Amino acid sequence: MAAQIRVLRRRIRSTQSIKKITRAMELIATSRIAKARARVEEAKPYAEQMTAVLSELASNSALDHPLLVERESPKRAAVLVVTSDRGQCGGYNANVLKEAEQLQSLLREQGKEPVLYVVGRKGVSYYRFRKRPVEQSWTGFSEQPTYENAADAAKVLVESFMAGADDDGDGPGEDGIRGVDELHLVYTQFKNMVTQVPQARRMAPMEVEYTGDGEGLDATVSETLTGGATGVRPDEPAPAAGDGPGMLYEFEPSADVLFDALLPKYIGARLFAAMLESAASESANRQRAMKAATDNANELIRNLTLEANQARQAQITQEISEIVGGADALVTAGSES
Amino acid sequence: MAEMTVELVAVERRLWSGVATFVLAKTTEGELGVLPGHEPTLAQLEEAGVIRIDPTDGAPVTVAVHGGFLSITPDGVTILAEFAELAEEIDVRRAQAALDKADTSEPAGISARQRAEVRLRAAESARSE
Repeated sequence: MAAQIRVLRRRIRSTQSIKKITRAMELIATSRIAKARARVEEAKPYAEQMTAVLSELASNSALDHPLLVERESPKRAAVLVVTSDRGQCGGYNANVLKEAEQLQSLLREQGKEPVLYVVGRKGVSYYRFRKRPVEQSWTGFSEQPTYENAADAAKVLVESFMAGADDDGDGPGEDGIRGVDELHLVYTQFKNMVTQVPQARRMAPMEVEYTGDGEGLDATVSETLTGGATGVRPDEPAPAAGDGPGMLYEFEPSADVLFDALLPKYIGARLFAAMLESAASESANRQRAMKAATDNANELIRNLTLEANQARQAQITQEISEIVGGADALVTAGSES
Repeated sequence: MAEMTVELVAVERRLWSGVATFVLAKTTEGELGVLPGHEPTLAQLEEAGVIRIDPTDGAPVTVAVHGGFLSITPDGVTILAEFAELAEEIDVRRAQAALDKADTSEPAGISARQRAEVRLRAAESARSE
């Protein structure tokens, strides 16, 4: 009896300390969401301007840049998966990894071989456990990514993409490096506090839409929703391409050189935006998961306390009846003698 | 006086925006001064450089810009930068320390050195005005 109470008390104590931890994590996550969302907002002007500039440039020239042209027979496709470094964030990693799996099977159906690039320790361990090769991974910044992190990844991806241009069939081509023919990105889009959706997008080759009206071409650069319809991202306002079609630009240096310099930066900016959104989503998921854990801990503590009190009362009752029984026995024994 | 809207956006945030009468930047081809009514231009700025913006009112704004582009449209001027710092925000001592620390034997060190130099230059030119 006494042992049961001791066990219950111990469980209450341990649940209480778990609750303290989950509560602290919940509070930290809550403050991080606000910060991450502010960073998403702050990074928007750059992305918008970048898209506008790129669209203007695409309207004017340099349409044969490798990042814009569809390869004839794409063989390998890079897939960059953005996951978190730490767990305790509900279904966040599971969802984004599931999306990545779907994308990979879609790519395989199309006869392309997926090449994995992973951001975040959880993604790395997921693929390591399944013994799937990961081309390269970056970890340690999933909650607070900086632009350097995104630029690093973008550099590797763009280099690999450029190296893939001369691949022939199964060989590495002239430069001796086996590159990729497409770049895909899987991340979690932060819609609002309660909705975060895993998204798969194709970053390269980019989509260029033309809306010419005779006077000149007006190009709009956008990305493709992998496996879905093409179009500009709904949350990105359509870039304003100058003052209408036909505006002539002066380029310094030449348009082609500019394009070469701009496109990797555009990919970097896109990656950075995706990482920021993923960070916000991660924090939102963690906040939710930890809130649920704290609530569950509270309920568990309540139930255990009830049970412990019952056990305590039962023990007291038993002790009383033992004493009364003992006294009765003594009284009976005394009257007999 | 003629004026134009100028926006300076870095990857992480919008650094400065307002109305200005003159922008001085250095592209990979050479120095470029922009007055209102400049012809539409897209230019790549030198890898690390100093930009001066003369607002219609107030003191000139000096900025250290790394990996930037300049876009001039009839609507105004936009400067896109991977990293940018306003001169008054630059910590001279830290920049100096970064300059001393930069190891020029490897490429990363050389670009770090360049960055530090530009930051110091921006801070200095802002002080001298």
